Amino acid sequence: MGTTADSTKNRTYDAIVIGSGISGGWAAKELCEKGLKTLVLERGRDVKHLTDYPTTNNMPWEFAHRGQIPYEVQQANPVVSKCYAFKEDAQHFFCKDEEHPYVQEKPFDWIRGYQVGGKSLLWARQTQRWSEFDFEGPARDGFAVDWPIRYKDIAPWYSYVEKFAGISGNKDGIPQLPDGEFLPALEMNCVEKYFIQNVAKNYNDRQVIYGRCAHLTQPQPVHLQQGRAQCQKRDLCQRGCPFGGYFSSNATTIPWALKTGNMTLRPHSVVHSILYDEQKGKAVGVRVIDDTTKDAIDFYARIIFVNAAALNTNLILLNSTSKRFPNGLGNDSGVLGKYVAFHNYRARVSGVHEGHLDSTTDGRRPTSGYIPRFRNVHKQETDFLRGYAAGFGANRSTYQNRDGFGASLKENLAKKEYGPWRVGSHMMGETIPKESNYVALDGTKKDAWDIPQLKISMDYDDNDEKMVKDYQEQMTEMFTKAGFKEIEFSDSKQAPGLDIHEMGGARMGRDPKTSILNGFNQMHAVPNVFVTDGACMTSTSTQNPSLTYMAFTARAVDYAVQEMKKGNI
Amino acid sequence: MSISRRTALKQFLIVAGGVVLLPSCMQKGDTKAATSFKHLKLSSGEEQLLSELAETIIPATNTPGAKDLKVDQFALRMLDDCHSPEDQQAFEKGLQAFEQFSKKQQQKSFTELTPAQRTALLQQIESKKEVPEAVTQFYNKMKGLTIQGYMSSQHFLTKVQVYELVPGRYRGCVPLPQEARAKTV
Repeated sequence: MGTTADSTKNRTYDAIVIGSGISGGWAAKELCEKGLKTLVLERGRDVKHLTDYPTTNNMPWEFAHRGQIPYEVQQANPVVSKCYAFKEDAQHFFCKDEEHPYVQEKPFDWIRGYQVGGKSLLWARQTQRWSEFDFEGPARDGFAVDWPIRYKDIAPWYSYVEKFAGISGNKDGIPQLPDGEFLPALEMNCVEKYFIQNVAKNYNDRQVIYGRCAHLTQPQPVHLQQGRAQCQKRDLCQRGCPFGGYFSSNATTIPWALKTGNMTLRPHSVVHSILYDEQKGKAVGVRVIDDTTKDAIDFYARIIFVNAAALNTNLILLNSTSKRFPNGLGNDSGVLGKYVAFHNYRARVSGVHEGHLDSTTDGRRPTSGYIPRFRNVHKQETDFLRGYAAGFGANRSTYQNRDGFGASLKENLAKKEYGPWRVGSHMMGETIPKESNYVALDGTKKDAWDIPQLKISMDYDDNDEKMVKDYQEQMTEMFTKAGFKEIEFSDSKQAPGLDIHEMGGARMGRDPKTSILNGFNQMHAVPNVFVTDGACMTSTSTQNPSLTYMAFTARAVDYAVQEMKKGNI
Repeated sequence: MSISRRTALKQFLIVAGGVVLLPSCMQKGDTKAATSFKHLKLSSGEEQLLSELAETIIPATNTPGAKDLKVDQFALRMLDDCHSPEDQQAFEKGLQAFEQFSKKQQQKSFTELTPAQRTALLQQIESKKEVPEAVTQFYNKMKGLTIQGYMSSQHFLTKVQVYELVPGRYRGCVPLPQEARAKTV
């Protein structure tokens, strides 16, 4: 560790951002645009847009196993192998279990992306806004703590990030899923349109809409300035997009921040802890273990944004101990690491549609349909709290006749046969944050950087079970009314984690006695530290959360810089 | 593994065999995998048999067959890399059962059969009449991998059913091709 004044000066910035994923990328962009010299710390390697997407233009036959992950790799990495996107074409963007162990007090499938861009390369790109019904949820229904903000506080920031990121959608006019700044939607197919109309006919309170997604269906000048082009409907997003057709940190916020000249990006920097100065009464920097040399290096800054992804942000804060904060940075309340939650993705309902046999689809589409939450929206009406959204999609099934062998088989394989349309839906349930669902530092086990391993203890509860049952009943009813046949329900019973929507642990709240962050994602007890990734979430609602993290981040940076100018931090 | 160790290992492999014997998952698509299995225990005769079987399932006609497209090598690579030890052992045993079945039905090893005899043998297996379970399972596995390899080959995806890397479009409702329409509607 350098001790000279020069060396310290060289390691001093205006701001430090921990993490370069969806929220860290936004923090970097906003801070750099506002003129702050910003150090972005990323634990993994650099992944440069275009040049570091090794499989992006591969044809199917260029994959030795046609996409399949070899048996030995699966055996060595049982958790990540459960993830739908962990395939031969994108495996290099996933963190391998065997290299990054953690402790499962209860089963939890922790899916991580350790590289510049984080999971923004791999996400499913669904971007639905939260509504007033979501922010008022905990207060109305009496769980967790009251959100310190309401929809009106975040709405302009949704607009701000949507315009820059590029969100494709329709203005649907649904109170519980507010409209945003949309690029044109892609088409819904004939059977999806049929279901949309059928649900509208049968229900006053339910809608099926086009799933709003972070794809450039019609790039605007700001997107062209980013060097991005129109989405080409390859539907190979997880490889990294050569067109920049979808939003990722790599294609969007990181290069934008770099262009300002204010960003220093430091990959291979595993954050050990945030440094707290007892005299100054604030955080002064970040301790990093250099992954190349294994040396500890301290970096300094006036403000620190923690965007390491929800659970790793908890780990860093819990590991940042001092005389003032023996139980983790900013943890006067004792709630740090607690009240973590996730989305319940266990259930599916599928079926067959016997009509529209003269039609099919053409090309590919990187999104599908979405059914906004309709349970308990305006008032409590079931025996469980909150509700669920659902994905919905239809596709024309095709197959080949595989009977026999020889020349006749070859001829049969050349012919695409058309089966019926298949319809499917999956549940995205809100789970209730509870004190008994928590993460903590393991008392003995450490990782390769001598940092305590994270112990994870999360489970479903009775509310979740009731919700799965209700989803089954309601979706089956909706499918039945639409005349779908062969309706089947399945419950994967998957452990929490595969939803990749883990949230909370450093929740926002009005009262420092029961929360870690205030309404601007600022630590109650350490005002120059901001947490704007999933760790900040007070409740989970049902929407895919990334868009909300983007909006929180832009809003928090705006506030932080104002506070700096006022001399408050 | 550190870079230097990786480099050293590579150099060792080059020195050791005169060829780089890297695991086949590090290779791309259609490279030669013969006789360098990590797990499968196959004699060169058995390997040859599997090639002939793949070729009987997808023969060269006026278009390339399994051997031309190295589908046989693909099938073995999948068996070697992507199957559990139990599945691999079952496959090896199934292969022996298949060979015995060939000798019982046609008095010869499959490799020595004429095309007509091979066809007769596979027809019997497809009919599932008096065919040992191990033979059926082995055949279905090999047929499945052969079809997968064929349908994901460059030939198939560029000449038979063209794969589009960059569709650039999504249309949610288009009429079915006329010939398919007549069949399904």
